Amino acid sequence: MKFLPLSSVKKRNAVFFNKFIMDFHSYYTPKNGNSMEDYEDACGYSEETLCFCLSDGATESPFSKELATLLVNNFVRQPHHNDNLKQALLNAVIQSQTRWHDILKDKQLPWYAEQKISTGSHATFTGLRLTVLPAKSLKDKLKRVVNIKWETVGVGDSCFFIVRNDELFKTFPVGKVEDFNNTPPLISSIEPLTEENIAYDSGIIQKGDKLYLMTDAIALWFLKSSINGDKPWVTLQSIGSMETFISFVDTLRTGKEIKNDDVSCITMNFKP
Amino acid sequence: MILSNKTSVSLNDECERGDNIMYSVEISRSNPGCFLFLIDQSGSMGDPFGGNPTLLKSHGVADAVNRLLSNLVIKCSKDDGIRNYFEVGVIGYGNPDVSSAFMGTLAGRELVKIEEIGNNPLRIEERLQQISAADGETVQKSVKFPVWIEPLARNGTPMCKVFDTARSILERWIALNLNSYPPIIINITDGDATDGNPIPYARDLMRLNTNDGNVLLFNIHISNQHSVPIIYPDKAPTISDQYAALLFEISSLLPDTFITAALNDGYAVNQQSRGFGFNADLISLINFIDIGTRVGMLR
Repeated sequence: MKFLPLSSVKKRNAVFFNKFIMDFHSYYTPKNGNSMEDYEDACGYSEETLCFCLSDGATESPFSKELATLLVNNFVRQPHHNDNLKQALLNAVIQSQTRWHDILKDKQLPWYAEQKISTGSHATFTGLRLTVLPAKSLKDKLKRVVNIKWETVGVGDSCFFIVRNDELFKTFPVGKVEDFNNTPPLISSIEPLTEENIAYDSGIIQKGDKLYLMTDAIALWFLKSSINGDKPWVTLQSIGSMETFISFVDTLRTGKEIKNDDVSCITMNFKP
Repeated sequence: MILSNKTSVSLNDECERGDNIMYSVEISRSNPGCFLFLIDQSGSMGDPFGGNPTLLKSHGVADAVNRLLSNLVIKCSKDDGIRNYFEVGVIGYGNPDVSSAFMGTLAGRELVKIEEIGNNPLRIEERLQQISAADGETVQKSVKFPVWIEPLARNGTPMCKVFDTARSILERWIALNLNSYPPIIINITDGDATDGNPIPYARDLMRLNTNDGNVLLFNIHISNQHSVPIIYPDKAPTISDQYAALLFEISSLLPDTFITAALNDGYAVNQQSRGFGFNADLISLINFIDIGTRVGMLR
């Protein structure tokens, strides 16, 4: 197989992003009563690597915001586009752990922070990578048929969803409402992550697919609503701006439809 | 000393887990929780603990409270300091009567924000802790051990009065925090009340409630007896210590959220399990309280 040079891949990906993805949004809002300084999720994406991800820093961990941010930044900046995606996440975790130690090594900390840091920081993670596949045949090439592979990796209860033909087609990695709880699997800043602890799935994008990445509070609402026969993707599609999203999340919190937690969400639709 | 003419009430479910009690309010800085520790500092606490002649019960109590406070502070700490998720009080009884057991900067205070507690221990000791290394070997590691409470053992055990004092403190707190998670009381004692039958006073205390449920009263029974620690039992322990059954009787049922967390952490609990420990420290209770995504067992 012949690989394009990285610079060409990045350029092609950026063209792809602008040509095929519609209604791309990245939304986030802190827990009610908190400021953005207290927001411990992180979300990121790169048009050049076509990587999208979210990480949710554990409330009880110190410096979990830093860990979540490092994981997101290192994942979307993957230099090796053809890596196995689990390996790409493992690389991002190792880079993040090294940097996390660097950030903390010279800090003078009180007794409680010192003790808490000895157990490390923790965060959930879900990542998505889109890959434009080479044309299978000359006919496809001439017809400019574009096949796009989606791959996702996850640790914990940050989720990835695909809506296809107006139905929830894929829920990953948490498939059931009862599997959401307060002790999800977590990536640690000090313990090694192994491939067996990473969930993985992949497939081919279809025209009109809607893709979502969400942290747990809104993911649970999305899944519950879908199971109840509602179409939460229609609600999300009608939002369109950060202000409307924040107001929408406030309404869900007031109605006790979601727990009061940091909320992050990436949405994208493929052209029909 | 308060000795009331209250008669012992029969124990029923009114103070225990009711159908409408959820214990589900989120503990947050804008909606903090409350912990009240009641510690027996009476003369009988100068007796040996758990059949070990070199360790006194008063030391066992002080260590248990200091560890509970330390774990609570650590639970609430983040990179930007300690978040005020709780107000905490420590009331001693027996030395000489019933009063705040805090020492140093916090002396005399009833309920104190957790941030102030974390930043004002009496002193910080270095202690050796046994930890399991990755290769399975046990190694000793020096850890910081903050101290807020010193071991004390004098006079009688006014348990009725301390329950009455706790009721008075918590009535005031609840009036200001009606929508908060119900206060949690941890009473640490050898059970030998000297001012009457503590059961009616405990029941009065357990009747207090916020909109989210009744006050939770948990008991740690520190005994002379050498026996296997008992934690979160679902029936009164059959051990010969005469006070164990009494303390079990005045221990609240674990709320459902605690049961779920306890099961996750490997404890054999069920719907009838109570917040009671015999020669056990109940540190795990701190880990059952939900302030967001949990990481694992507190040390």
